[in-house]
Amino acid sequence: MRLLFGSCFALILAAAIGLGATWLTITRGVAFGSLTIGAWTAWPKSGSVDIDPYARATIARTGELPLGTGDGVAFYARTDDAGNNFDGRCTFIISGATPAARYWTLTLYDPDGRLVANTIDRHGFTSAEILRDIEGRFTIAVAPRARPGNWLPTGGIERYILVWRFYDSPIGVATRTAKEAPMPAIARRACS
Amino acid sequence: MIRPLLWLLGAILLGGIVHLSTVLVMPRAATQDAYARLLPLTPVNAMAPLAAPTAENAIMPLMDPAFAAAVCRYDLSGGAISSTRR
Repeated sequence: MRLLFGSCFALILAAAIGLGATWLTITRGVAFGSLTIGAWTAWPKSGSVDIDPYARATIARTGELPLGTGDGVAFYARTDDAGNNFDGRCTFIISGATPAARYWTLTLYDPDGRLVANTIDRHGFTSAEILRDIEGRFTIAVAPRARPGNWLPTGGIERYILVWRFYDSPIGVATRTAKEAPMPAIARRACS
Repeated sequence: MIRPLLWLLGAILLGGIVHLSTVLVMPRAATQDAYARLLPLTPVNAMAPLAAPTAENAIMPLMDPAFAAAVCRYDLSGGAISSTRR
């Protein structure tokens, strides 16, 4: 009787531990070999054959197509530099330098990876269309209401993510520090 | 006293095995990965442009709206393929 009870308990607990750990790692996007610079995190190996099993499982679940290593690298941000979650009702200012790349795009998605509807049908910026100051720097305002300069509308949604993709860029698996790849700073301003 | 602890230890070890095996099986068991999403939209051995993602409709999550994407699914079981520019 005790053996039966014990083995039942152990099997149920094992299933709960195993499936729970899998669910947590897959939904949180745990993967090895990440590269974090400021608020931005990239997984350069996700686009190569060296992809680890956790990243492979995450990608299979979400159904996305990761950027190939030869094409470029994608950086993801969910918070600003101080760790505040992105909130579509607040204004976030992105400014600074970008690493070397032939072309880059910055896109705003909801947490499930869908584009966010807005009145001017703008979902991001590219290096070709962004407004720069006289020294070539830029400032992007991610805000719910229209702003002068580079305004990226949030549509007022509660949570969103930003994805910065650098195409034909030397950043990759060998990149380790912010010195090699300076990423723009993100700071929260007023909330409405 | 020692017996429940042994059961607990066994359960944790077994849980680890369950975790690793489910992570490894996941890509084969997933029914909505990128390939499955593209399968009904793209013919074999032909280039098929993908619809640009919009807020209402996107073939895959996290598509880059600045790019136009096309997919060519090729089958090498019948021999080599060659691609030409038209």
